[in-house]
Amino acid sequence: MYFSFASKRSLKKSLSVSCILARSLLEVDADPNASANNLGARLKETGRSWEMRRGMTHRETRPERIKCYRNDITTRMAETQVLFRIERELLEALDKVLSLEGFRTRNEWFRAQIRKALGEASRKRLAGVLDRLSVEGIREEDIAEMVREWRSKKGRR
Amino acid sequence: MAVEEGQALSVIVDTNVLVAALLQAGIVRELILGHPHSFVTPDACVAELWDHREEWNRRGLSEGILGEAIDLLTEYFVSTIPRPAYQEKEGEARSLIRDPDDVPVVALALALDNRGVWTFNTKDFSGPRLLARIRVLTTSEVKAILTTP
Repeated sequence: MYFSFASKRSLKKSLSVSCILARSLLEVDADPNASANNLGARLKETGRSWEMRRGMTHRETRPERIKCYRNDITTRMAETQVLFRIERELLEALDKVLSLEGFRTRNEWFRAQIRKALGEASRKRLAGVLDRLSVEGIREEDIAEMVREWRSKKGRR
Repeated sequence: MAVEEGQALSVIVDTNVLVAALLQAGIVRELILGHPHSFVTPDACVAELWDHREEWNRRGLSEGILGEAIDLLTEYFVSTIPRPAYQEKEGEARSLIRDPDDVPVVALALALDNRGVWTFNTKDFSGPRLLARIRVLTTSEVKAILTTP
């Protein structure tokens, strides 16, 4: 049988879900009570939007980022309709566990699954990059000293 | 989990913890990668990290790789909070801590609901007035917080 979700986030290309994306258009959050009224959620969204421009420092990009912070909550949301086939029993089972898992709607559950999948993909990519950056034997004290040193150099300049 | 949508932001991290996450294959990295969106940092700390990349880039990797590492770290694992969110607390923060580079961290701790500031620099993050306003966490305390329901 078919059923639909109204997901608020745009799906990234890397996510492979057996689904049909019927439409995708930018619009404001249609379910403000779910997250957008929550300061923490707003700041989390903002944190995710931070990205570094290659060849530019963070300081140089800051004004653009702040502008983005003010606007992105309302402009970054996208509505996407997802249709997919699933056995009736599985759908019924899903509906039963949704509230037990703390989700109010299928939409909330689906959004959380997307975030989880993207987060896991990012974790794997980051772990690969960090392997190349790792310095053997470096201790917390060494790092604290390194930061202290560059700050004191800055103070002397 | 759906709870993630309204979950309170948790632990504030200092620059030295961000450096440790990048360089140290150990508990700091495990905690951060194992708890996405449990950590926040002021944008000033990410800026400082980028500005001093030559100092912590001990392996001599390209800027592209350093940028990718910071991108990925701040996209999913450590949320970056822009200055407007904590700016109004900077005055009070200046009166509580001596090092001006620590002001954004303290201001963020004053501005946001949080479980404490994670730093290796516990010497500077001391003094009764500061500790009466914010909680300073060591790595083992952060581990205990994140593993306790």
